[in-house]
Amino acid sequence: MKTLAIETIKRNFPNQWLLIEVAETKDGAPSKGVVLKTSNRREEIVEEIGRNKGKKLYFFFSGITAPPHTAFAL
Amino acid sequence: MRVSIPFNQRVFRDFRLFVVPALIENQGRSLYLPMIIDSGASYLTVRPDVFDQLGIAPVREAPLVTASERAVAPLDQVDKVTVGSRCFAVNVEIISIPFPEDLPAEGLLGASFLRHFLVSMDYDKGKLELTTR
Repeated sequence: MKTLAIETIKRNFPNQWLLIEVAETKDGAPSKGVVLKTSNRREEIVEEIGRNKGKKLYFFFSGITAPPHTAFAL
Repeated sequence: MRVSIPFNQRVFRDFRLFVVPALIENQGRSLYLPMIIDSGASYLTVRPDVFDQLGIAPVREAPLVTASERAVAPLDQVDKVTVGSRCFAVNVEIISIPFPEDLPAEGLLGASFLRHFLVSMDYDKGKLELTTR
């Protein structure tokens, strides 16, 4: 598997849930990594987290989940 | 020591939320998640499925009041949480609640983490800083 910049991974897998093994960080944020799994179904990626114990992982969605200017009140 | 924290610029532009990658470490698991800096949240908060995958066994339930409901939430602690290159806290209390799918993050960085720092959020300059005590 190839190590890629996180920004490159986001461009290569748009609007996907991603599980990355982190290879490098910059200012404490993941900057490079290896793609372990991608899916448009969040639960498929979450299941993989527990199967990769011992690795430094990054789990995120590569797109934006809500229309711009959506209001959030949590 | 004051540390500038990188955050997701697009989410900030679209929603005025500071979302940062936070490293959560617990029982041999190390997971970066995009988290909202939320001084209105009492605890570090994630969704139930991620809570389970981090190997967290809740020790008790905490009464929960959100903007829309009253409930209870499982509560435990994780070994360590790190934001940026040098800002970390150990034995951080964490709860789980089922967020909507369209939340642009995986959870909230609430007071159980933020209380260890002085937090500065400059919305005009788009700058987030944590100062260690």
